Amino acid sequence: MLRLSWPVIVYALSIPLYGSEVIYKKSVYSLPLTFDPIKMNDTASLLASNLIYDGLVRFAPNLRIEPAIAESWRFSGDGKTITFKIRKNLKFHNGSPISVADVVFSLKRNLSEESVTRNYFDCIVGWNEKGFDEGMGGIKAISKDIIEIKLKHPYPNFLNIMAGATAKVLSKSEFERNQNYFVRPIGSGPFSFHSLDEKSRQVRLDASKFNYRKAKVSLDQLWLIESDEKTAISLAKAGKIDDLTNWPISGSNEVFKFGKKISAPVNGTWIIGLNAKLAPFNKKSVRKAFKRDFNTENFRIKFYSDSYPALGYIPPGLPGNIETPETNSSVGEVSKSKIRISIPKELEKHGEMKKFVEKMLIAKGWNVEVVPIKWDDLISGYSGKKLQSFLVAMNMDYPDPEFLFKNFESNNKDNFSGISDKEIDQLNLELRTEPDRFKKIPILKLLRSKIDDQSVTVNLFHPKANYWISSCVNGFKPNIISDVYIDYASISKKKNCKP
Amino acid sequence: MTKISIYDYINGSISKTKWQLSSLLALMLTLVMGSITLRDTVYNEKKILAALAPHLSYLITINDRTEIMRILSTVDTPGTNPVSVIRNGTIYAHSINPELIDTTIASEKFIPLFGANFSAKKIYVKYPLPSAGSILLLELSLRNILTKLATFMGGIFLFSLGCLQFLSSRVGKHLSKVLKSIKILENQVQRLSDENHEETEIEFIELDNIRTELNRTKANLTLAKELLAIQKAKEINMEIYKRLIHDLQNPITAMNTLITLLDEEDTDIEIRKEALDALPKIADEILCQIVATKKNFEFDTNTFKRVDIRSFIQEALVQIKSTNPDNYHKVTYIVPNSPVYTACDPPSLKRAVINILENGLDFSREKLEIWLTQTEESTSIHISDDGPGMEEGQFEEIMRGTTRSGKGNRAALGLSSVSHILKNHNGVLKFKKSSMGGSEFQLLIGVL
Repeated sequence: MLRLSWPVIVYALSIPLYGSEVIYKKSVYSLPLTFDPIKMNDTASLLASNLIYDGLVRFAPNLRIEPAIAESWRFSGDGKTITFKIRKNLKFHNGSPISVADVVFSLKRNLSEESVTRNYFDCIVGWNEKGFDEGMGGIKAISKDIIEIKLKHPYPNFLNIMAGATAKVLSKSEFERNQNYFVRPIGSGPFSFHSLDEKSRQVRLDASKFNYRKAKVSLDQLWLIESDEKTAISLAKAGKIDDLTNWPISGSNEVFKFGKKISAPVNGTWIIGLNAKLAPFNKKSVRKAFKRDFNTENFRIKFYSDSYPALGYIPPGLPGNIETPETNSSVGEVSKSKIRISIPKELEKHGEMKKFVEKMLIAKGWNVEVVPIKWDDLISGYSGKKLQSFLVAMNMDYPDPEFLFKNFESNNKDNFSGISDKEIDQLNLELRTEPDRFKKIPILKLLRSKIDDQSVTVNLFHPKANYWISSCVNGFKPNIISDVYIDYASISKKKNCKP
Repeated sequence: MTKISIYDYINGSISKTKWQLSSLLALMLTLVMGSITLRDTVYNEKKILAALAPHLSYLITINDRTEIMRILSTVDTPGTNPVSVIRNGTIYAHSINPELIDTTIASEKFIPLFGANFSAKKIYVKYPLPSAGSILLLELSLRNILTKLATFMGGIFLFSLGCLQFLSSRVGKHLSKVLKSIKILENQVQRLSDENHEETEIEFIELDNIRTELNRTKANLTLAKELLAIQKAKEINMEIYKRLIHDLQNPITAMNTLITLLDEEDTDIEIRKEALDALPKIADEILCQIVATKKNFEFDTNTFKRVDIRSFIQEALVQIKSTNPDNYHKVTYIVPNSPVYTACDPPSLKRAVINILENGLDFSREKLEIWLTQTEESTSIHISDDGPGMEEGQFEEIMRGTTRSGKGNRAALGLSSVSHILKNHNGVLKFKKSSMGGSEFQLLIGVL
């Protein structure tokens, strides 16, 4: 799955007065494109999902899997059956109780045809290419508080997937009653949906009245405010925004003089994706040459100098990451065909990037044009595989390299490169079905080399997140998977604080 | 020098030092336990790190930070003791704070102790990982550890103090029991010389042996005393003879002189008359001397015994009463309640007492008192009367044997004899004016 994270709409700010309530204002590059978890394919939506909904389990900042709706879980001896015991007396934001029926219903939706993440759940008994055979008992309620999930094979990453931002629990009864469930979504997360203002481009959330966590949520409201990077930074400097964590800000940015800087690695990677379905990148030799001639290290140092060099597709801290440079002996042909590299127009330095990249590649004989385009056009072209090449940031739903490699499976809707390689498909399958973490390593290395050989990505860098938050904010803890998983329920903000 | 009984000394010492000793021991025990606990804490943490090391090391080689972080967070379950993996001086993974990843570890001053590094705020427990340049680092909050340790040590201190107090009170009780035997021992030692020994609750074999030995010694001593008494009696007899010879020397010389005067033709009549008058007197005096000596020999002077002198004084009084029934009413004998033991030759001493008493009765008007005194060195018999008395110079003349006349002469002879008897008892006859106006004699018997 692809996660894109740049501003698309310039935000015109209008901040109403909200009495003495503690309101936390988070700047986002985009409002959620959907509130339906099974259709989420962008960071803004996944962020909202984590705030409004709860899953059976969730990620802690140190990547441990913590209980959420499930108070405990147990694996069978063969690792193929998982039983979750759900907490008692939990309620959705509308006050209705959470039952095992809600959980079963929500999980089955993840396996449905309409789910963009259904492939994550292909390990569940009953999952098939066309849909989900419920009769096989892959997901069922055992008692009023026990749910059983049967797997085709032991799959240690299953809990990671269950902690992800798409495996959320919805109210079955409300969903069946209300066709506009996702207009005013109801979940059981730390914040309840309050309103979506299309005009001011804001989503407002209230602290849940039915919070079951040990600690009280100290914020009264959380606002997601859409803007572009430049506007967001100026608002932050003016003390009108509390959080710029959605933005890839360089560590040397002036805004850090005005608030707190929290740096941490994040499991992401920036790439220029090459569409193998479109000429001239339909030729592997051209892709190899293009990759060879793109000086990624110069690009990194110029635009994101505090990031980590990307010697491969997998970020640092994950198996498969390349730490020492490998000799690039690839040979290939420089194409004279016109090549367009689409980059998000909302990026503050898109102009500089265009000049830099064009200069670099033209000097090496490439007929290149860098085209800054709007975010929604980029998303549209990306999804429709209409772009020759494009600059994107890949974030992860769960901390395992298989998540990234899955993007190169033939049958994956998110296969942006369009390559179809049976060997890669087979290795991906082996990687997912091998339960032994250590036995996966040789498979992973082989798969990595196969994908590298396809040369469908120019690996620009692995980002180091520089989170800006207001000096009035306390308790902020980064999450190294993604900013999507930052726990806002444990963040506090000083009342009447002027940064 | 302070005298104190063994029982009181030991018992008092225990009571005094009970608290100090218990507190000191409890403190020492607490410190030892505290050190052991601290060392064990570090040791146990190191063991956990050691157990994880091989697995973590492999995870480092495959770059699996996610799994490492999960394992580290499991070690640091409460989230208070961060664990990190350091790779080439940089934090590779951290159990709590992702912000610290890829930062260098801060250097701190520390003291190495129990295989860990103690800084002002933290205890750092390190364990090297097999992966080159990698270590596992556990940070324990020194304050938390010390708080727990202080609670634990406080508990240990109170518990051990309680135990030691209980123990010392038990020891005290048992010691009191043991010390009771010292009391018994003391009692038995006091009654060692008691021949009619009755068996008590506890009998000491050693004391029994000592008692047997003592009795044997006593018997031997008695025998030795008797032998000594015989020897002494012989000496006294010899002395009496010597004295008689000495006493007779002057009258016999006088008689010789008078007889010589009578034999000489040119002696005038007056002198002759006087000589004739004097001769019977001198003869009478010689006779008196011999009679007195005879009387002294009439007593059995063969033995020196340790006797209660109250008894023979009583006997002397009975004798006096029989010979002086008309005057006896003058006598007042102040008898002590307890026995007055002294080693002496009872017959001769009795005779001395009778001599003094007879003189006293002769000279006293209405009163004659007799009483006893005793010191460590001597025993004395005091006889005092309300008679005319005499001057101390006169007493000294009598003692020198340079005075003689009638009744006074007899008395003088008696005093001289008493003086001899007392000298044989390592004693002396003392004289002073009586408080009643007459004479007071002190018959001092020394320790033999």
